[in-house]
Amino acid sequence: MKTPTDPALRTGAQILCEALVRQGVDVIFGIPGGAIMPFYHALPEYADQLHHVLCRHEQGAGHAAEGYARASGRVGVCVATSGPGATNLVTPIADAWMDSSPMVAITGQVSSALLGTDAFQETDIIGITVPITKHSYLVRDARELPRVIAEAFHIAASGRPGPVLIDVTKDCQQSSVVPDWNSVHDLAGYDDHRLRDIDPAGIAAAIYLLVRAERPLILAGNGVIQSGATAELLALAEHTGIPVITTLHGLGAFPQDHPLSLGMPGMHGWVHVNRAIQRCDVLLNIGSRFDDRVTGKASTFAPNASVIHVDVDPSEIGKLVPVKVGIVGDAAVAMRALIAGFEEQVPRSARGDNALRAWRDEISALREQFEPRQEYRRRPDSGTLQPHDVCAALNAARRLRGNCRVVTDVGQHQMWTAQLLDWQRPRSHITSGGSGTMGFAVPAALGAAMALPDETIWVVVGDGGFQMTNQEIATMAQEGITNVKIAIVNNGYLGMVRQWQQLFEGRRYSGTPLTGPDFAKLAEAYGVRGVTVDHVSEVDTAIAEAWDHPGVVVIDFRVEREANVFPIVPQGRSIGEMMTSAHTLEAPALPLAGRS
Amino acid sequence: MTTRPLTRRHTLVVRLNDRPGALYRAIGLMRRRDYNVSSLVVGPTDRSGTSRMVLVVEAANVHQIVQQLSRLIDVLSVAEVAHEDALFDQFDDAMRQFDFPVLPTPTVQELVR
Repeated sequence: MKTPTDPALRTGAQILCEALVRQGVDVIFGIPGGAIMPFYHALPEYADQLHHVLCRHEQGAGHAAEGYARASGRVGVCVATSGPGATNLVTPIADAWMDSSPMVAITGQVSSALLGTDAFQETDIIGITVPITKHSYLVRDARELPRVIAEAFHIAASGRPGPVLIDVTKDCQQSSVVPDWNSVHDLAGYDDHRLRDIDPAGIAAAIYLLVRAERPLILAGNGVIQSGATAELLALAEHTGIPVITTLHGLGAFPQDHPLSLGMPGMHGWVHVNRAIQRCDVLLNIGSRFDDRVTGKASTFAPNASVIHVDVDPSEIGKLVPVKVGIVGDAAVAMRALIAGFEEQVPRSARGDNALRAWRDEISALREQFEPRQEYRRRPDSGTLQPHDVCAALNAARRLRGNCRVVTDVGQHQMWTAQLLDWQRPRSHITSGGSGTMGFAVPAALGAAMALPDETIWVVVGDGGFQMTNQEIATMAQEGITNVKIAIVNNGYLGMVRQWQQLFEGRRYSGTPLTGPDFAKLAEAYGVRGVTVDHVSEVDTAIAEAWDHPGVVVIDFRVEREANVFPIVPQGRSIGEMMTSAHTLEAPALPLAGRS
Repeated sequence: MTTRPLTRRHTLVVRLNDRPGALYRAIGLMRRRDYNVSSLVVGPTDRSGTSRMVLVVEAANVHQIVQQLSRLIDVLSVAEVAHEDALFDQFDDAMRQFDFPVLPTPTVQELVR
């Protein structure tokens, strides 16, 4: 029997905190406000277990939760109040949705009696976020909180991960109930396909195609990293001798210094990678979703290939590219089954290095012809500072000092960083892919730094994106974070848009020239170190000193203003057609057959 | 020049949780994925806590719609059933022709009295 003095009574706010602790959450990113105040009132009681990071904008809190999730593989948590607090979370929720990042967003809501009355700071955040969440809850009864929080974390992290929103009314947070921590999930409609057995018929069909293939390729995406399947990918490639392509979010899923590693495909992939896709006869896609930045014009993508698609989300199979074999399930489990099937059918003498020699030689020849990457690294020590110099120096420093995490924003710098650094291990490359959210990098680095306090987190960001969310440097300073180093690739333009205007719109630079404050001085104003670099000779020292400095450093690299990202597939074209300079379109000698 | 893929009418029976927002999620999905709904009926089922939605869609790839609906956590099952044009024509006709008696709208003065 409950009485006002029942010692088991807890407020909804306390239950919320305790439920987070029970999920193993140790850090949350947020900003308080009226409708979430009861939660913040309870928070100090749990301060030993649950550290709150006060961000400077809810968008920053959301991206920090994403950065935390992407760096650690755990669910990232962000908190905001109702109305504008909640709507400021919309961009990071959409970003987490597009990139399948596990996130739980908790928002305060006006009291139940006021729901639907246009009350102060009332916004229908559930209605707004239905298209960009895996699921969402409106909680009005505190007795539901233990079950709802447990379900939300399960949904966010399992299957294909994604964001879950929990909207909690203020009176629910204030009410007192006896929590039932033994409540069971009520998720009859949720299928975590990772737990399912892989269909053996699909594996058999895939093996049939793979052992007969003459020019096979593996395309590895985010799903490999999310599944923790990098060892399986390495084993599969080495067993079969099949070269591996990694998408933007797959960078790090396969060691890039491996002889079977080809690199990134798509709009800014290398020419030889895209040519290999257009030539291949079997394409084994593991955990990537045929994004249009990968496929170019989809109807002309891999025109000669039988496609095998492994994905934990069945709705991705056959969504954009016709598939011969679809395998629904976890990437690691599927690859183990593929390796076993391959071993059964292929004698040892025809595996690994002995397999597919002619095909790999063909790709090597293409690579020698088209990859300009080594030239960028051998740039003479003179002339204007190029963005490539910054990436090359960062890569060299990273080789010397061991690994670090790199967080990028969106635009030209993002593509240079993806192209010119060697990606060796999973979760070392963190960026906004599907959503392409400028302003992602600085707050995401804050989250990554909280998840991995013993590692160095490098941010590479443009001057445009930096000016969207750099206030989170104040959060870093308040938190005493020392392991974030920020490299601004400052060209005074919204560079990627400017590049398109240059290449495709007759240099009509509409809305792209951009000024900014003195970023080094701005950094100093935030209480962190700021450095300006104008010349290529200063780059190595600046990066080394930033790495050694026991605090956040912002380096303003003032680079060539009109440098371009090459190669590039012009929009709407086949990935076989790439511009390698402003005046060169590399198109295959023979027209490739379109997919009929 | 783009040619629209050939579409055909399909009938889907969707069982979903009878919870606030469940219908909104399913219907919103149809809009944002650009699926064309030509008929929609929602009602209770024999099992408490679940409702049933029957929809007729015009689609080239109905499998994709089934998969997208199945992703929703409030959706318990999705099945494509044999499509009966005649049934829906009858239903649509009935809805069109039924003469709903309109109730009087109170004036503001009546409301505040």
